[in-house]
Amino acid sequence: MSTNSTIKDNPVVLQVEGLKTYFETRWGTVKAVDGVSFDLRKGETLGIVGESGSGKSVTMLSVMRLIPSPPGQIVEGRVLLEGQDLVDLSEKEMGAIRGSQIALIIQDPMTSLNPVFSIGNQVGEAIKIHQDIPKRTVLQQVLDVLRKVNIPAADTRVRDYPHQMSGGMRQRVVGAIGISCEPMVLIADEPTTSLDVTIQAQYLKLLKELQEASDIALIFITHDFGIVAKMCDRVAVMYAGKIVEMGDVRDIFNNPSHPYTEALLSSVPKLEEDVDRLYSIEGQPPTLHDLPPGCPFAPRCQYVRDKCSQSYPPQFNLTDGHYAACWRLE
Amino acid sequence: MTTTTMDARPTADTTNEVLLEAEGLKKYFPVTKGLLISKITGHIKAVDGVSFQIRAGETLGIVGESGCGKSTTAKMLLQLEEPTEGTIRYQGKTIHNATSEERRAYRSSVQAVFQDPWSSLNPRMRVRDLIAEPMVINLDLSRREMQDRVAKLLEDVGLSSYHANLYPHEFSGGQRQRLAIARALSVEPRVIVLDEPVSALDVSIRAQIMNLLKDLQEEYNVSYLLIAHHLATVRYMCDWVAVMYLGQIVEFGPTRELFENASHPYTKALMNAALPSHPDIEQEEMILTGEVPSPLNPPEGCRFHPRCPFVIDQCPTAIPQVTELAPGHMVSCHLY
Repeated sequence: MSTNSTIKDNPVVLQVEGLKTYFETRWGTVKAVDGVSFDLRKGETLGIVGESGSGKSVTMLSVMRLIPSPPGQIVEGRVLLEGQDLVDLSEKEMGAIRGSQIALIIQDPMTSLNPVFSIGNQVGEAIKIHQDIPKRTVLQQVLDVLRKVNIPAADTRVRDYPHQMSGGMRQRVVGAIGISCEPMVLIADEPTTSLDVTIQAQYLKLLKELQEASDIALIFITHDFGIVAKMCDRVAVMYAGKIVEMGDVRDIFNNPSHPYTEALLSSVPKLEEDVDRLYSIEGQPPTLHDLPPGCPFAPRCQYVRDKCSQSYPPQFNLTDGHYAACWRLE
Repeated sequence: MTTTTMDARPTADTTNEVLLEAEGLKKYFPVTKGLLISKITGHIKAVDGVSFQIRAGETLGIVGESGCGKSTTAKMLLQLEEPTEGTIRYQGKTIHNATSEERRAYRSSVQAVFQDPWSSLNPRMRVRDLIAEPMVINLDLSRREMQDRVAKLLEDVGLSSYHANLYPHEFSGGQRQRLAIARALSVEPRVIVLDEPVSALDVSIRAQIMNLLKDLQEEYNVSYLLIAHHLATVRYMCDWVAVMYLGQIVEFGPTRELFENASHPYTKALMNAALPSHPDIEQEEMILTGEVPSPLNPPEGCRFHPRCPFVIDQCPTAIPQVTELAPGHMVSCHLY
């Protein structure tokens, strides 16, 4: 966060343009991701915030080309990783990139590790697939990676199975798999939701150190503005498959301009001060197969006006790199 | 005030009557070895000497990480677990040697709302029956009265009376939690145990439920015991906060005092590890190393000493005394 000005000069590594991922269901087409664009620079941390069903995880699965098809399909848009469009790649070509140049840390360390393979086996898998090196060196690399994520006594724990490790340790192993091939882009999907607070703090610190050590571009998918405040340089707020506001982390916190961002920020209790009464957003997040015309947040919005239910607002630029999609800014 | 076990019973000037009181609560789970001739090889000391009070119309929060014993404490209050040692008193009367009639009365005056509204509601029952079930068991009401009560409860928790005919799967997470709250309120309890009531819900829904709980507290004059790991939630909801570590309360106090003058190193570490509400908030770098030790054989002396950054000579050997730092603010640490 402190090196903000230098990060802005770094080259863009990942560029997502007009991404649309739709799912065909028996209730109709679900527009899980509906025109998402953003870019990500080397060494930068981007937070993607939203509730369940906002499309944040599907966006990242689309970037990784992990959308189960059918029923899902990337219907439009481009995902450029250092200029190469991932959407057009064959499954085999994508397989060479996935895990090596762009990697994913998934939410639940309890289920994302295979219980019948040892830790060393699972961390080594990605290394074996992506690098053509002899067996002995694989083990050496596995140990190096395990040490990088601060697993104590790595040379004995490498033979352990997931059930022999605590939640925090398992999460570190999942992290180790993520960084094992030194990716350019690392996507962390709610990496700490199942961890205790003190273990979460350890893990976030570790991710930050790993990022700084090799200038990884990091994407945090989260519902927690606290993680954003602590970790991110920039934020994209998603609602019903669209980015409704995006900007530098300070712009978002100091001047939230989309009513949804504003409402979310004022509905979270604060650790540092007493809050008399939290603002509560009425209603439910919308169901994606049955979206109202116009702005999907309109039914829950406190500033709603006639225009909102007629057409979706364009992006209004506020300051450099800070925009929001709301008719109030017209 | 100096005793060896933390007595989280407020001495400050609250005038509300004491409803529920726990004294020296312990729960040891035996660890056995062998299949046919099993032998007890040790005990997991899930809760090891916990005392606290819940006063009418107030909220006591218990915070701590997984394995600290907060849920076991709640289960003992709900009589889902029998304490190994210690007493629970309700309105001055101990509940352990109560008659079955008194126990039934206790069970209806202490209700619970659990974390996961997807598993706490029976999917085969209509909402009407779900909410009425505690009343069928505990109250002698006619069908008509029961229906009216269900309708009133549904409205009180922000739903409508027509919802009574639906099944749980037809509701969203936030609405289901409202149903669970309505069911808990149906027998007019004096205390509700809230075990992580909002942590399974979407962010925009959490504030709705927290505000609802606060409003209902005023309307029904009910007390809450809130079990949570999210500190900001505790700050928003509670009047009193107890911080637990490895089966013991290490710090206790009125919410504001405790958050502004956190004194136990573990409480401080928890606060520093909690996520800030703004990117400009500078947090002290105080990240604990290691993980919570096994409650099977907790460390000697102060249980926190292997992870404590301020450890001094007597920590590994002597059990710390309890010191009162400010009215009602108690800490169990050798530094004070």
